[in-house]
Amino acid sequence: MTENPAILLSVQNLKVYFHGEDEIARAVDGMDFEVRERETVCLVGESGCGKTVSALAIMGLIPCPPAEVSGGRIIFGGNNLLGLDETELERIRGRRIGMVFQEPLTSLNPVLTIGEQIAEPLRVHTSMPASDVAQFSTQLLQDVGIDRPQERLRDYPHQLSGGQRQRVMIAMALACAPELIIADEPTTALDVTVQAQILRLLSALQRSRALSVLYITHDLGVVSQIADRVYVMYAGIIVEHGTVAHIFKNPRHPYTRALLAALPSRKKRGRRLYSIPGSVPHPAHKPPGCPFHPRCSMAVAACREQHPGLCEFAHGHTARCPVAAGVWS
Amino acid sequence: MENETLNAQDILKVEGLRKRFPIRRGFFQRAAGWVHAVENVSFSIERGKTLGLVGESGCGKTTVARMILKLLPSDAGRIMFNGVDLCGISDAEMKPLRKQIQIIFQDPYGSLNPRMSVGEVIGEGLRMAGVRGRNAAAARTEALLARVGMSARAIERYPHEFSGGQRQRVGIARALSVEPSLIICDEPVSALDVSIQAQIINLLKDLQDQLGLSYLFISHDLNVVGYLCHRVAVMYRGQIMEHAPTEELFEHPLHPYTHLLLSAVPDPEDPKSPGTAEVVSELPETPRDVLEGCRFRLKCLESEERCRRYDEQLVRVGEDHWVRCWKSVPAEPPARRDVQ
Repeated sequence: MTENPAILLSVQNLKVYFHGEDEIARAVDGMDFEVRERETVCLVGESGCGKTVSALAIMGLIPCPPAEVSGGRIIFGGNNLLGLDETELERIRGRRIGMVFQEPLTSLNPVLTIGEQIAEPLRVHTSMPASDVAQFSTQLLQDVGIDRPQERLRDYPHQLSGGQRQRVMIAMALACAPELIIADEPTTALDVTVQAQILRLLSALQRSRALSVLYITHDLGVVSQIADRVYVMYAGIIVEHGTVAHIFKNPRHPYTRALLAALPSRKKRGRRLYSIPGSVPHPAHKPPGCPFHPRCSMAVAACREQHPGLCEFAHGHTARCPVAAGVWS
Repeated sequence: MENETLNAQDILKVEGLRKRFPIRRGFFQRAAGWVHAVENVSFSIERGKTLGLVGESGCGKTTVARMILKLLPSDAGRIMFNGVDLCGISDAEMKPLRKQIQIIFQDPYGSLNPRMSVGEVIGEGLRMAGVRGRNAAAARTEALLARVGMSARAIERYPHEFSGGQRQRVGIARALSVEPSLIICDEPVSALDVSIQAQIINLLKDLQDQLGLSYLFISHDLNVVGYLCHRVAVMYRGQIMEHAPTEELFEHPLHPYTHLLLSAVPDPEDPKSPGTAEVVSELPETPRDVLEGCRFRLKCLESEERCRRYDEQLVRVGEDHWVRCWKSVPAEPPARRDVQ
């Protein structure tokens, strides 16, 4: 890339806390990331690290209470989404930002036809005349690779396969020509062969429609195939950020390195898989200092007390590990 | 497939296993058709080794597992376990054998009774195994928990108090309590996070080394299968399409479906090489009962007229490599070919 495209979405120091009866779960705890125009950014982390919560916060879909966005800014197209009221948010959500969820069967309404569901965002967000909606919907379904789209418009979600349902979800997200698509584990429930098709569809659409995609997943394999840039999350914070090459060829944070070493593959046959001791901390009981230190093989005394700062390892490659950078020892 | 002599090395040998489920329609629930869930499935598992059974959801992997456990009667075929045909014996005769074949499920939460403490869950298995007396049972439970990497404190606790990985360890300890020789692992690591998945995979490997266990490892994750299994059988719509030793299958896949599966697997060691998986098109649920000829032909890029007409047999193509596709059989060899 010669020059960086403009920043479309910028999340700054985002904090989302869940208030329990006698404890506070800090699900997202000071998170920074950005998505530029026409790029695919992956947010990767294990379950409970806060990736879905941060996506819901961007969409203004955090249930409040018990959750509360306790701080930070979410700048999209010049506006701080956290400062908007519901009406103003409505104009962005579903229109300029589309969303694709993990389980298409539960996100689609079982008693409405595919056609009715695709028409809904068009009805809400655009002034498209009803006579044009059917033709436009047919075209959308065709764009996402659905055979005989006209017949499918009359089908109900249960009549489609998992892959087709996910294609319908993508068509709905695309309906109002958004600038950004947030895809939360869109292929996790699918078979590998269907997953490969959906991933290819997403990257083709991303190119043809000049979209930005924020792709949330736990699957490092998927990340390696589709991302331009990657943010690795652990316990509510970003621990490492870089291009795909940085993260997969030259990971610097001990957590990223451990995750990659823990992945099974045929090439590792006969060798023992690296296994990270312990488990992810509960968001209400995070250890002080670096949240990864109890499981980290490189931890030093400072890791137990101080919050680690971001260290730059190369242009566009940062990790929250002063030990790896040689600052702490 | 010629009948081979029973190999004493094999702990399990499945031959021509078949299961069809009726599709019931109408007021009288008459069988309007049949789903060929498992059709003529044959494989064997060597003692102390792991066979991977891979395929997409709904291909019949779990149905095969349920038939081996006799949780589901088979329609045809033989299941030879240590030389005994499980299909031909009564429930009473099966009872002592059940201890020798255990299963670990995908969702350890759904398969552990929430009202039973870990001690009770494992104690139940120990009673079946003939461990008598409270002290003996407690000592044995502790030893089992230690074997799966858990402390004795877990005995008093209930499933909801554990994380997914720990629950899976409890599930493994329960399976081990009756001292089985064969464990069927039905997607045991699919629901787990990467860091926890590695712990459980390492544990399964250690247990195999220490106890000489044999595994039937059911999975859709080819990365896990490639790492863990000695042999792999690829299933599609109730049939085994190809089976071979792991290295052979990954290095020299022959069946178009195996090619498709392998090309769809994202490889983190080779970033930004989007899968090349190609199929004719993504089809809606095609009726499972009416397909003649090769079951994969509707998705196969190489399908021809012959594929539509003949239901191919599993053919031996290498020393230990079987494939169900006439186009994948190398031009010269086997003796099947007629000489003009």
